[in-house]
Amino acid sequence: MKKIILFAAIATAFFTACTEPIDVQLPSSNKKIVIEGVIENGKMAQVIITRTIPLFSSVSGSTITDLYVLDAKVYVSNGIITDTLMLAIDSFSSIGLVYRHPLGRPNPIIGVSGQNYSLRVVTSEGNVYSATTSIPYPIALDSVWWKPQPPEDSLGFANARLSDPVGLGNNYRWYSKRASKDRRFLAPWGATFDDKLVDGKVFDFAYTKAYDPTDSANSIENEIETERNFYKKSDTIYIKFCTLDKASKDFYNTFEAALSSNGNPFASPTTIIGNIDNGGLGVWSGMGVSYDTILPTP
Amino acid sequence: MKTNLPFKIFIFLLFALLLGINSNAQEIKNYTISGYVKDASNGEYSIGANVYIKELLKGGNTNQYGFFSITVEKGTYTLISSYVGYQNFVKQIVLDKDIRLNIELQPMAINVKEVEISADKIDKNVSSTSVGSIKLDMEEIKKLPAFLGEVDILKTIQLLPGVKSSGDGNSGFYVRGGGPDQNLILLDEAVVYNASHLLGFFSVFNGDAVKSINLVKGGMPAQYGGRLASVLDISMKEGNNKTYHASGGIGLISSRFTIEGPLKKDTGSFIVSGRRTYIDVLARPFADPSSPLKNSGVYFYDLNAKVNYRLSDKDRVFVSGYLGRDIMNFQDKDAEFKMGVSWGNSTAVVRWNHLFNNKLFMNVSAIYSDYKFAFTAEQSGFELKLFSGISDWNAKVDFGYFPTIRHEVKFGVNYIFHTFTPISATAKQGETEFDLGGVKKLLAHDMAAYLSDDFDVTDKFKIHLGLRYSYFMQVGPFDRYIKDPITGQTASTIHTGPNKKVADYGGFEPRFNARYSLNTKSSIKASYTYNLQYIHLASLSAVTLPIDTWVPSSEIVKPQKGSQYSLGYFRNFKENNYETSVEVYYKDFKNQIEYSDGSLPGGAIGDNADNQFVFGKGEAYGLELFVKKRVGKFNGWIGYTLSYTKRTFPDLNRGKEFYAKYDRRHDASVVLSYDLSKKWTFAAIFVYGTGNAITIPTSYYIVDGNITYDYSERNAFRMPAYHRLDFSATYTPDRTKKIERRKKRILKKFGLEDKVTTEEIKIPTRLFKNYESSWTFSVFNVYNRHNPYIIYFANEGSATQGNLTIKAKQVYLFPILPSVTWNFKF
Repeated sequence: MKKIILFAAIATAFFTACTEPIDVQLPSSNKKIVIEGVIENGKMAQVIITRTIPLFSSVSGSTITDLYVLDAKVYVSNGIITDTLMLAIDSFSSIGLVYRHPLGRPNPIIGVSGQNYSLRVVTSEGNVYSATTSIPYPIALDSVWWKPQPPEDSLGFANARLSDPVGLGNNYRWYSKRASKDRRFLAPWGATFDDKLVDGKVFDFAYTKAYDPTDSANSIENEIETERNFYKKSDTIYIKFCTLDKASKDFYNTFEAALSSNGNPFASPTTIIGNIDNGGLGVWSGMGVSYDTILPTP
Repeated sequence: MKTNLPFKIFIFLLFALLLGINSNAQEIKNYTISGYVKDASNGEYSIGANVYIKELLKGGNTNQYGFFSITVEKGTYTLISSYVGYQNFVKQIVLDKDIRLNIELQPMAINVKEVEISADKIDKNVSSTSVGSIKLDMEEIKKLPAFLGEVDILKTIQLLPGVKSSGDGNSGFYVRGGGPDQNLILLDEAVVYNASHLLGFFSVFNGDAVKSINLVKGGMPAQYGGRLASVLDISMKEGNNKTYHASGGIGLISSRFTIEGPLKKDTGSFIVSGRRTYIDVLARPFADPSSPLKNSGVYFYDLNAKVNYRLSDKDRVFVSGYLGRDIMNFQDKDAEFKMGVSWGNSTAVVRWNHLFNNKLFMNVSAIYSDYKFAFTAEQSGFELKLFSGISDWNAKVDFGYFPTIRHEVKFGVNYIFHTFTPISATAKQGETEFDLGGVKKLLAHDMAAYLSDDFDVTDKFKIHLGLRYSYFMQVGPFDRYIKDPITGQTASTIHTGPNKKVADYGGFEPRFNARYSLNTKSSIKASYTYNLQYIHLASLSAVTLPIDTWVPSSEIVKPQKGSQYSLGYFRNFKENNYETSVEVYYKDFKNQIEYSDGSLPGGAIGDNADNQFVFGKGEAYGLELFVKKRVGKFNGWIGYTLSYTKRTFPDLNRGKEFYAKYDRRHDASVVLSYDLSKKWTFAAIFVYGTGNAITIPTSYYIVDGNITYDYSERNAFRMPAYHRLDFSATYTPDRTKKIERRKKRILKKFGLEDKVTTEEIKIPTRLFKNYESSWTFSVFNVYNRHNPYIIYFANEGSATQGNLTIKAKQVYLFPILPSVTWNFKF
């Protein structure tokens, strides 16, 4: 599918000679709540809560507080106990502020594969949003390795071999993080896939390097253009390979398609399919995680 | 369809009429005059020419093969045949026996003053029962400004009221609120499934090979079916059966060449016409060797061929075919990444016309039609192939029966065997073959029978009464994947064996048109039609793409149903030189198809394509105004449409009604042409249309650090209006003067001016003498309007850094574009 996007990109490039800014009167819109909650096996839940922002208002000192929802009440339940999450600063999260089990308080809910978890968010306006998810059992990769991409010999992609268990319905998402270079685990384009076409097979696949959209524009520009999508031979790469339930897969799949359809003349807007009720956007996703490391190639 | 009371009455009426025909025929002694009407210069049959008896002010039109038949009481009459662009044929006939008369119409030379059309003749615009049907001749179309000099039928019909273009870079068209898949496009009776070249910049119809086009946008007669919105019936030229000719053109992006001539004089002829774009060939030498352009290119070609032969006075055979392909290649400089896309139509038609007697005409057709799309890509050992298509075997028998001057009866049967190839893929990475579900072709039988009568009830009141019965059956082998609602995975598979029924549908499709003449210059027309459509094309992208695939009706996809009511007032002015009309219509559609929210490209691979669809209903209504000046040095038309097109899908837009993308409040076009002299003809086109309704982002949010858009309600935003002015000038040099000058130069050179006159020099070949050429200069988008093709949003900076800005940008395809084309004929 990547090739089709490339084809579309070429076609787009053909037209971009005739691109110009225009004034657009946007149809009216309401503010919506956006929830990005994850619970992984062996870890506590993390929930980011933000709001939608009108398209043409730039984020600056005043609107940054519009973006974050700082005063929501957030509850996670495993069906037996309910944990109340609190806002905390977390420099390893995508936007720095997350709701999670406060440090030092006893009895956190730790994710366990095969269990269901529900999330409930109550905003200060009194709106209630909820969702449920489950953590699938993790499926580890058989092996991971770095491979140069000819004609380069020091730049390449991260490769992996997976034995997909027989029986449809396994959904996967791939994250990676370069040691001492990336702030957090990042998903490259097309990170989410399922076994519809590869059920029960042993197969190899490769990913380009992901980059962090929250990095400052400068640090992205400083990277050499031709090297941007590659891992270096000398990189230590941590791989986080996750299994997801269908609702989470649908979310990440449509989210990735939506990102790639922005500005593509051949794509119509992709509706992102979330699992939050009451008109909330986003996802509450359980992930069965296994980790691997690609060491620098000598 | 349930058999209800109005329907029973309708059937009763139809049969009562047909019985009436026989009883009428037996009472009075009648004789028949019948024959063919053709162009005297090249023997091409004239489609839709008027043939009428002056004394009775009654008659008919020639059918698609140029045949007419008129049965009236014994007597002496004046027979007149008229056709736009030709001199009237007038002949006194004594009808005391059946007469066979083949009429040859003389083309009207340019600038010869029009022979006055007899004032007491009722014009077709006013007199026919057809509502919302328009015929255009290729000569008319060729005069108009053309995009990059390429004469384009589809672009021209979009200038008619009720027909809307989908904008620059799109050949798709919308008729009275119907989608692009609801138009039946026929080339010599063969269905053309994708009528566009180069992603829609050009249409597949080569103007040099086309004789005439007939567009039915309302009141669809019973002989047509299978689509809800319109029929575009295109007839290919038969070829000159008198002398050999070659013609062609050299343009900026393509060249054309046509050769035609008699197989046997006045008996049979052939025509072969080809066209190819060469922008890829021209660009290649200039491309930087390191740029991907060096090994990449985009081009299309097409080829039309037709032969016809008169076996006897009663039998004619036509064989025609079309082949067109679009090819796109891309290869980066190290051939690391290779990609190829190709798509195209092919059709083949064999037809046999037979006259049983002078009242009963039959045509038998065997038709093959095929559309294919293929995509291949290769990178670092990964190979992907995608393909899709549809092909049909089609057999048809159509009868035309002309029992009396008051009736024209048509009946026939049609059978189509469809083979659908839904989007299928094969892929391998090195040695690993991925299971992409294989190629699962879908098969279906599609049948129809129809009966219709054009009946003059009184001198003022005429009706077209038609009934069509259609039946569709999808047959195995077929696998239906039943989805588990929670995991979304295939829970079970239901297999249907070969030739076993998967699903079937059928129904009656009544068609009714009526005309009431207020006087010889004006009439009121009304129509009601009900149509069923069994094959469907849903598009995931914002524009129509060659990758969009046709799917049959199945257990999940029900046939689309459409009813149309229309009413019109038609009036001619100034001795029929001006035709005007006002029409209103209302349509309702059921079982319309869209992709469900969140559908992704390729989602149908290894699955049933229809598992991604959602279904809803729609309605459309509008008002159309049309003024046309048909004849004279200065002619053209003005069309205006006010329209509304709405859709309601329970699973889209939270069940709320929304405007279709191509809902267009105002749509206007002005088409003018002026023959200044023998040398110069000028033409201009102006179009205006309300912008498309699209969905755009209204706000953004952040997921995993990425800027993500939240969209408006479906199609809640209007693109800026589309408008454009085009201009063209055609210069036809006077060859005789030029030859004269050249002869004089030669005489002067040899010092023979006093001894030999120019008349004494004979040009050696006939070919050279008849050589004609013309230059067409055209300017597309004269005032350089930037009509948006798409609008997108670009973000700069980062939300978390506090420096994010989002701007709207538009992409427009065509600035002002001048072009020149040289056409020749000998």
